[in-house]
Amino acid sequence: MKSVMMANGKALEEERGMATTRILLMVLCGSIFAAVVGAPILATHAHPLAAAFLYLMFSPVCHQIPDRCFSFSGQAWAVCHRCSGIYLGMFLALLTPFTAAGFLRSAWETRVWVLVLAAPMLIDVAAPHLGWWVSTPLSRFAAGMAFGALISSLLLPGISELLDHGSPKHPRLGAAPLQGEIE
Amino acid sequence: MNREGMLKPALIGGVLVGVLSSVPFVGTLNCFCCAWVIAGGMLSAYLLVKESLFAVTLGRGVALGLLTGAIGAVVDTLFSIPIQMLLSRAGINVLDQLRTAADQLPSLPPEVREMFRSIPAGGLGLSLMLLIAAGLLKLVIYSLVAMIGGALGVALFEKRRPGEPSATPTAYPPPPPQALSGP
Repeated sequence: MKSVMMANGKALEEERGMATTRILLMVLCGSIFAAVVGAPILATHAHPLAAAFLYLMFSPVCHQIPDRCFSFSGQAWAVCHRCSGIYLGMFLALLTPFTAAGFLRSAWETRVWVLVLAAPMLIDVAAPHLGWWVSTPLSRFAAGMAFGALISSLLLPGISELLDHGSPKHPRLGAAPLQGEIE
Repeated sequence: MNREGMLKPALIGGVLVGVLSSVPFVGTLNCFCCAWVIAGGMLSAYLLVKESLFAVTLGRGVALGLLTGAIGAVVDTLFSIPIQMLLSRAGINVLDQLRTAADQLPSLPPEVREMFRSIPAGGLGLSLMLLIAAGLLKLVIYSLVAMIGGALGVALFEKRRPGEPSATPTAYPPPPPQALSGP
């Protein structure tokens, strides 16, 4: 009875830790996406310095070619279609109640999960160079979203474990048991 | 710092990230979702998985990525200093490069472009200050992005379950067979 209560308490603590990490990541990803969309809004509303700061912040991580960016009132977003998809995908994946740790049971399943969600972006990058097809804003954005969802699904249990909020319940993605716990 | 053998893989991955990111032209690949930084994080994770006696968890992958990114940013900044000194001897200082970068940023508002042009040329102090500011920005970006690489690397390369030892431990080779003592 005591061990069941302890196990329930530990599971509750783990869930709380995961929820805290989820909220932290949601705030981070939401802020990044808001900054991406906010840059052109600031530029068109007479705040050029603030807009320039945001454009410069994102310049090391994205090419920012205007033809490859969504635009607001003729002003390009701070990152390209693909990067916008990644940031939005990361944010939206965090809104879903489940995590990868909840349904991936083995190393094989995890690898398939990574490859399936990364494949659209890899194909969308490689196929135009090979002359197989021409990527569109929608394909770049959608492929980026899939990759963003993958990133969130891995970062959530990883950061949760790192912050020592409790390990995920999943045997593959969770923390290694201590020597005394191995039966 | 060398928690559970993380320092060596992080150093290898971090130095690779720093060197490749600081080399002119080669470093521009970072404009595509920080490709070098993600690759460096994945390389570190691969090395850790290969060296570790027990299964590497996502949390350790994330921590390793964080360390790799931080080392990468420091190496990148340190490599940039001699490169900038060579360029300044050729008459190109950091401010000139910043102006060129501002001219090449397509989304930057024209008022800000003018503002960059109107900044008077400074000496070595201003160049060093700009390099340090860029280094701090890189420290944040590289650490965050390399975390993604570390998590992806663990998800792709780790085949064992948590707590499961390696089938063929690489860190500690088996002891040599003892010589048989005859009667």
